[in-house]
Amino acid sequence: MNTLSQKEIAPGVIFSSIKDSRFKSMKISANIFMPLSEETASVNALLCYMLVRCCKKYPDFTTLSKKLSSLYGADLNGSVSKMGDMQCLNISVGGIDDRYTMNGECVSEEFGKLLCEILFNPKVNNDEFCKEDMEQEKRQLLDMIDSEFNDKRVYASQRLVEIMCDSELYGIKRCGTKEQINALTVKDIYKAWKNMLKTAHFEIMFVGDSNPEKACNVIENSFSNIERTPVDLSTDVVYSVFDTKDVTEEMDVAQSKLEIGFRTACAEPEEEAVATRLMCSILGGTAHSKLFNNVREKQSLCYYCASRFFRLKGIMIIESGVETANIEKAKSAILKEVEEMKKGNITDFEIESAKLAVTNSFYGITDTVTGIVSWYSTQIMDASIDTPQEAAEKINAVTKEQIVNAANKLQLDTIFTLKSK
Amino acid sequence: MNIQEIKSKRTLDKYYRINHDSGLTIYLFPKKDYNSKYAIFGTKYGSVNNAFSLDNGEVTFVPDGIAHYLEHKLFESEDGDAFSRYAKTGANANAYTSFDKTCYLFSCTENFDESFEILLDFVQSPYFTEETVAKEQGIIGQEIRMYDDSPEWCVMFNMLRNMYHNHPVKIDIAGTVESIAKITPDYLYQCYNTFYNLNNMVLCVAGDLTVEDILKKADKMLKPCEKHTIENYFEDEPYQVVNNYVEQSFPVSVPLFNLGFKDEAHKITQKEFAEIEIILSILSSPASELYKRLDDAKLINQSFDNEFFAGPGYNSVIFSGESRSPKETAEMIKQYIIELKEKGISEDAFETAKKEVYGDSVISLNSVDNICNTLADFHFNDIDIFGIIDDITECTLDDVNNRLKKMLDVNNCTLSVVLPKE
Repeated sequence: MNTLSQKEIAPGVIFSSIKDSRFKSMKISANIFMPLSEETASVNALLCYMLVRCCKKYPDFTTLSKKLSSLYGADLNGSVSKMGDMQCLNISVGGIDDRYTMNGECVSEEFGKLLCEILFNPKVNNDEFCKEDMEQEKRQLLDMIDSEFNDKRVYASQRLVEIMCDSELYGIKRCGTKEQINALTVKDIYKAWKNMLKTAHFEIMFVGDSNPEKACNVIENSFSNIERTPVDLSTDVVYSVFDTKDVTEEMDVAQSKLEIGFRTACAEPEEEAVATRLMCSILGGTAHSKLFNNVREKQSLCYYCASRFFRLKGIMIIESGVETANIEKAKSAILKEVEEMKKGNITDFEIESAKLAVTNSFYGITDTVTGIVSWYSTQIMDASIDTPQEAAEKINAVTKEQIVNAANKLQLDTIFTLKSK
Repeated sequence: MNIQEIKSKRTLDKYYRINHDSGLTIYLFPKKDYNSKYAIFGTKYGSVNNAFSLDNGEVTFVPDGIAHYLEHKLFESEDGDAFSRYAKTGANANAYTSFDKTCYLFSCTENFDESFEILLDFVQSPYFTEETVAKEQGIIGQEIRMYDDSPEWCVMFNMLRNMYHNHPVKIDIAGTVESIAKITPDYLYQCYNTFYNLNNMVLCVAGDLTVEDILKKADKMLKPCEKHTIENYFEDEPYQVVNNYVEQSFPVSVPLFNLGFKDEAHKITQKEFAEIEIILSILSSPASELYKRLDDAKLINQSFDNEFFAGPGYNSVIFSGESRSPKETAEMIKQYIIELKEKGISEDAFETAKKEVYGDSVISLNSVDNICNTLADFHFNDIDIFGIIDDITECTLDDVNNRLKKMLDVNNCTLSVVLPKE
C-alpha cells in the first residue's frame, strides 16, 4: 500500500487516493457531511437513496442495475450514518479491476464517470425529482427503519443513545423520523440536493491499482460550476452528567437487553482520546476483556457483554443480553468491573493483550479495499490522520496511569433496559 | 507427503495443497504483501451428524446440539482456555458450527507462529469433565434464547421444519435447552474421537506465508491419525414438503419471509454448482426481470435475496427478504419460475448474470478470510476454488436452461412468514 495523497479540488471537497496493486477490485467513495438537524435529517437520508436509485443517463432502477451488472457486478451503494454531530451520506462505486475482466475490457474509468452522473446529474425535471421513484424509495427507507426494530440488539443500543442524548443533536435519528419521511415532497428533495452540492463537506476517496487522475478530473470539473460555501465539521461533547436516567421498556422477547451509557469526558481531537479507546478495550472490547471474562465466562450472566467507545462524541456504551431474572445481578457485576478500572485494578496482562488486539486490528484493516476507505474516512475529524503504524505506536505508548485516568473520567449517564414480559 | 501447486490463469493466483503424513489435507493460499494472516481448522461434522457409526460398528445416536456444544468445550483444556492463550499473541480467534461442519479460526497480523501452534494444539486436545460440561449449559442456554428472539432465525427454522419430515437439518444447530441437558463428557469424547480424526478434517491458511512456514509447525504439532470409516445415517426423507405454509407472529415491524424450494438430495458437482450460481443471480439480481416485477409491485426491498442451501441429504433453494405481502411475493416468484422454464432464459439475462457471478467470485479472492472459509467449504464438497471460476466462464446458455428444468419445483415449496404482532 502506498501513502495517502490528498488534494482540495474545490472549497470543502477533498480528493484522496491510495494506489494499491494487491486487490482485484477498486473503489471510489464519497462521504458527504452535513450538520445533523431535526429539519433536514430525513430529507438528506431520502436524497441519498434517491441518488443511487437512478440518474438522467440510467433513468430507472433496472437500467442502472443492468449497467452495474455489465461492469461485472459493480457495486453502487448509498448509506447514511452519524459521525459525531454530523450526518454522513456515503455513496460509493466499486468493482473489478481491469486486469481481471473476462475479455480484457477496461472498466475502471467507468466508475468515476458513474459517480459523477449519480452526484451531479440525477433524474430531475422542473426542479423536482421523479415522484414514482420517491414513493419507491420512501417505502424502502420506511422498511429499513422498521427492520432496525426487528433486531433487538440494534434497537436497544439505538434507544440508549437516543435517551442519553435526547437534548443534543446526536440524539437525532440518522434518517430522521417516519412521520418526516412520509411528509417529504419531490421539491424538498431537489432543494436538499442543491443544498448538498453547495454546502456539504465532501471527502472523496479512490483506492485501487489504476490511475486516480481521470476520476479526480471529472469530479473537479463538475464542482467547478458550483459556488460553494461549505459547512464546518463540529461536535458538542458533554463533560458533566447532572442526572442519571434509568428507562425500562417491556417487550415480548425471550432475552432481555441491558444497555449502560457513560460520558467519557474526552473525545477526538483531544490527545487523551487514545487512552480512553484503550481503556474501553480493556474493559469490554475483546474476548479477554474484564467484561467478557468476569461477567460472561466466570459468572455466565450474559451471552454477550461488550463495550464500545464513540470517540467523536465522547460516550461509551456497554451492551449485554441477559436473562430477565439476572438483570440486577448483571448490572452490579458490570458496574463492579468499571469500578475496578477506576481503582486501577488492571493487570499488565490485561493491558498488553488489549494493546495487541487493538494494534492487530489496525494492521489488518488495510488488507481490504473497504477497510482502507473506512480507515481514512473515519479519521477526518480526529486530531491527525494516522497510518495504522502511527496509530499503533500511539496505542502502545499509553501508560497504565493514563488508562486509570481515562476510567476515572467515566460518568454514568443512562441505563436502558429492554425487559422481557 | 505430497505437495501440489495449483495456479489460475484468470486470477493470476496460486495455492498449495498438501496431503500431510498425519492424514490431514492442508491448503496454503499465499497473499503477498498482506499484513493479515488467517487460518481455519475444520472438521466435516455439523449439527446434522447426530446418528453415525464408526468402522461398520453399531449406530450411535447423540443428543441434538452436541456438535455446537463440543465446539464451545474444545476451547478449554486442563490448564486454562485457548482464548487466554491467544490473548498473549493478539490474534482474533473464533469458531462456528454449521449444519455440516465445525470450524476453528483465527486472524492476526503478528505472532502467526505462536497463534498457529495454539490452534493446532487445542483442537487436538479434548478435555471434558462433568464440571466443565455442566458450566457451559448456562452460556449456551443464553445463546439459544438469543436466537429465539431473532426473527430471521425463526423464519428459517419454521421453514425447514415444514420442508423436512425427518432430516435433522430441521433441528436448531445449538439444540434445545432440554437436549443439551443430556450431553455428557462420554458423548463428547465419542463424537470427538469419531469426527476429529485428521483424515476427516482440513486446515486452510492464507497470508504472506510459505509452505515451509506451515510445515514447520504442522510437522511438529499434528498427531498422525489412522484413517477410519465414518457412516452417517439419515432417516428416509420423502420428496414432498411437510406443509406449504407456516406463519408465526413476532415483535417485528416488517414481515419477513423465507420461500424454500425442496429438491431431491444428491451430490452437487462443480459444474452444476457454477450453473446454479448463475441461475440464482438471474432470479435475484437487481438487474433481473423478476426483481423489476417485484419492485414495481412494491413487494420487496433491498433485503431480497436467494441462496443455494445444500448438504448431506438435503438440497434446496431459499428466497428470503422483507415484504409487506409475503404471499403475493411468493406467488410472483413461482409464476416467474414457471414462465422462465417455459420460454427459457434469454441470452441477455444469461450474459449479464454470468459477468456478475464471475466478478463476485474473482473479487472474493481479495480477502484472506473469504479464501480460507471457501477453501474449507469447497474441500468438503470436492470443489476447486479456481476450477469453479473456469466453469463459470465456460458455462453456456444451454447448460443453465437444462439445469433450470431440473430444479425449483414450484409444487414442492414451503413459504414461512413472520408477521408483526397485533
